[in-house]
Amino acid sequence: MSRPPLFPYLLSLLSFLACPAVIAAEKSTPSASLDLPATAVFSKGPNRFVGDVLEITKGRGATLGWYVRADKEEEVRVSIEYTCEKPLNQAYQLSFDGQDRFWDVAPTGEGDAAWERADLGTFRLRAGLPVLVLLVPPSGTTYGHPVRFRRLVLEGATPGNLSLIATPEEPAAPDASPGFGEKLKTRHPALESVDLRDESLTLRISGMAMRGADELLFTTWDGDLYRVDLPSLNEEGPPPFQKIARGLSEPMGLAVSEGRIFVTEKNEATELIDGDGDGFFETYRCLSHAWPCTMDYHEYLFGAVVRDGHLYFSNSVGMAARGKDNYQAPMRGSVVKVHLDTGATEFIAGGLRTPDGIGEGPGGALLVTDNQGEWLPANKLVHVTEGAFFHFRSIPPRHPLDRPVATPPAVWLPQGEIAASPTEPVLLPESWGPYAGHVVFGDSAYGGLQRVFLEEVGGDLQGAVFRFSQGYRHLFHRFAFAPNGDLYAGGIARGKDPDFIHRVSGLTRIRYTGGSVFEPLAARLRSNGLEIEFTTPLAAGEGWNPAAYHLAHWGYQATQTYGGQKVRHRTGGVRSATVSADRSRVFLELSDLVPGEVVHVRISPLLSGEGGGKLRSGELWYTANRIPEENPGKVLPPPPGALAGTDAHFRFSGGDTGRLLFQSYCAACHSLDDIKLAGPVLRGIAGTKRLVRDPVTGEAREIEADAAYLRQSILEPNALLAEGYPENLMPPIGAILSEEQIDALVEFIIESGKR
Amino acid sequence: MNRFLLYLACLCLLNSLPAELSAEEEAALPFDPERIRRLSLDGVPRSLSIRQGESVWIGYDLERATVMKIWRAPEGKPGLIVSNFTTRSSGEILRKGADKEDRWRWRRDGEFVEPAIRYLGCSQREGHFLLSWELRHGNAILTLLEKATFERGDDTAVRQLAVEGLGEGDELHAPGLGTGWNPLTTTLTGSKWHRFVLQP
Repeated sequence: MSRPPLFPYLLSLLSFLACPAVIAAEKSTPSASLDLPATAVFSKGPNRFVGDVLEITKGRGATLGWYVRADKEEEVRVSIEYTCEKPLNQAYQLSFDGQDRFWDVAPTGEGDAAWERADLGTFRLRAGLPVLVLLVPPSGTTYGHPVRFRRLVLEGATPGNLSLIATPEEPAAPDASPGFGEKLKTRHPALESVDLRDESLTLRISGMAMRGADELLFTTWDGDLYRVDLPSLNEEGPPPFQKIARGLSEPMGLAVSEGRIFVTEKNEATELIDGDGDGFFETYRCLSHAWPCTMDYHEYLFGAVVRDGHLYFSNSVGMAARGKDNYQAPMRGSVVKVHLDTGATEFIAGGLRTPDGIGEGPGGALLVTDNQGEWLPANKLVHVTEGAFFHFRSIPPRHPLDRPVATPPAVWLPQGEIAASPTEPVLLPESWGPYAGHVVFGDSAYGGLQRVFLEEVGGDLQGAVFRFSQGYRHLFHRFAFAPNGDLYAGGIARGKDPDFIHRVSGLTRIRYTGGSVFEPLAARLRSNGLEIEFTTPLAAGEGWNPAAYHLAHWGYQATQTYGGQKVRHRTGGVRSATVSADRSRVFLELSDLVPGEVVHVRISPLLSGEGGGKLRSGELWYTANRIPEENPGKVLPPPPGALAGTDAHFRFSGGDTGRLLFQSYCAACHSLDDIKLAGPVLRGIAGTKRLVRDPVTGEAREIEADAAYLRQSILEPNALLAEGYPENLMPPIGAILSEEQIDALVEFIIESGKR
Repeated sequence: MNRFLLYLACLCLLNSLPAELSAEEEAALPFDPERIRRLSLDGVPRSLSIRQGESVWIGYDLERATVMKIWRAPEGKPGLIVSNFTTRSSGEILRKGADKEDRWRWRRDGEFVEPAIRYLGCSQREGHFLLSWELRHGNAILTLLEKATFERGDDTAVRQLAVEGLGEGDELHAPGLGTGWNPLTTTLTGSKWHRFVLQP
């Protein structure tokens, strides 16, 4: 006869007796450690709880995060209590206030006895700020066995220093109108433009450059090189484009240097040579192909800049495995430098994703735009410096320049707010009046031109992005300036809709007319706030009221999941507003500047300029990587009566979560007004019959487009593909939205469609 | 003619000017897609295809400087199917490409070495395309040339190879030649052109 198992009973009894004592002790002696329980994560996504244990089988759709705060800065060690029966083929990411660690989940065995604690590393915790801790599982793979976890543990050294804080609520945004929280609808009044179209041609312009003063060259995605004599351009009739080369392989960049022509093709940098001088190119010299490539459709070489005897361009990462495994061929996501004569190749920067534009900025700075996605919570304009790493991490082998702390972008370009697929940045010449020295870039999804002002702070470039101009037919991709200051802009489109591609692709001439426009021109960071310069002076007595400026601040944290949310998103913090003596500048004294964050300024549309001019747009996003020391802005008391006035500068109608989400994540590709974009039109979609295709079997079937279908399409874009649209065209935005946000988005789409 | 009519006439003339090249001009433009395609072939990212004669195509692996395959297009149909900026061969395979293990070997000063290969480009010349590669071993460099003739009356696959920079007594051994080709050798010497004809 066996003895009764007394030990477990005794253990339970001891535990029961000990518990109140422990709690009492915790009350009297604060702990130096902090539990981050699984039950407190933002969103479990498709995973499930068993008691207080979260069983994770899939990362996409889950946001396993917590906000913590330390009263004083200290180092903390992070560990996790978990079980996992079998090895995983990919690592978990721990993103701790933007610092990354990868956790190769070691199998622990089966059952309750298998609980183990794994060390996830040591981190420096900033004082006084809500700091976001994210546990990020592999994004798209669904595992047959779960990683079960109960809690993360933060261990510091100071009792009572650490606390878990409630998730900050998304702050309300003021009501929007074009130029004020919403995309502009019209062309900039100081610009005029002409579409140089030959309706018989579909020209998806992929590279542009001037050869001499009068001759514009451009490549097309379809592999041709054209020339056009600018003096021969006539606004009547089709432009006299002449094809001078063909058979190029998906060229995405073109540069001319001392009469030599360089093209970045799909898999090689190429020099085009016209040996016999007949004007056509019969030799395609391979300048370099010194990097691996695969058959991935998304591996491109983007852009082309020649300087110092070298060709500079970037190469993108593959996308075919998006949402599954982020394996990449080595050296993808680089800025590449190739000697024009020897072909000697260097990789001067890494960590890029879809860097569809390279250009020179002020002072010859090499600038690259990059597109939101995996490891990019928003779009970026980056300043390329030797050895920089811009955060896109592939599964090993990692990029040789990969390092734990990435190089921040010069300017964040928030997704849907000011960019969606940014393209080539180009420096505005002297002839562009107050905008000279600024950078504009195009966008192959958001459309139009956006403008960037850059300044040097602490030796690095940072600055602000402004709304500039919409109202163009073409989605601009590449640019070239003629010597007279005319900007030639080439449009491009992807997708499978030939009508859409034909409509938005082609050449436009944009001319600066010098017209006066009242709008914010530049923004400069000071130790204690932000100075905004306007194109023309404010009206006398205007601009002093801090209530005329709505400020929001947030940071970004890159994860291996697609996109990202704003971190520490909060509003307010304008202490005072001081107008300069010439009334062209306003200094906003701010109480809440945090290095590395975006400062978003909405300026009241009620502000008027000298002569009563109304603001054309009132918005800017400043990226405060560094806050300048000992360079304060001047704060003055407002003149008498300057704060008078009873009109509310901003209204908050509320209830527009769905609209804002649609604007941020959907509007670039889906319209609600019958205009065909890259994705299906969503106007009146609810209740209609849709033909969808199973990507695995390829079988098509008809379904009713209801809320469940929309929801599934957001969470799993490839699950039921709209007929005629390819797999992986739509990014998995559901990965970064909460259940409530998805509900709001679906409701907005359904309700908008009824109008 | 009054000024308005003159204006209308000029306008009509302008509108009638072709934006694209005429068929004649188009034909004069090098890299005719009916003769050469620089898009990836059969899942090999750095490759190209050249048509010889009426219907014989040769596909090159540019990274390895080898022939991937030689095939004949189906009668009355294209030998290349183009889709999403890639190509797929179609038709009867006349010759498979060199095995992955079969590489360029350079007999240099009596020793066999395996050179590093770098594609240098493609040029359209009178009646042929000229492909070139750099073959490097240490500081020694060879230039390998392949002439792919597209203006020929018959449908025989022919390869013409030359190498520049070989030292006296040195040899270069080509992968994929030998059996099935006339002459039955894989050896390139000197700087002269070597012509190989695929046997039926």
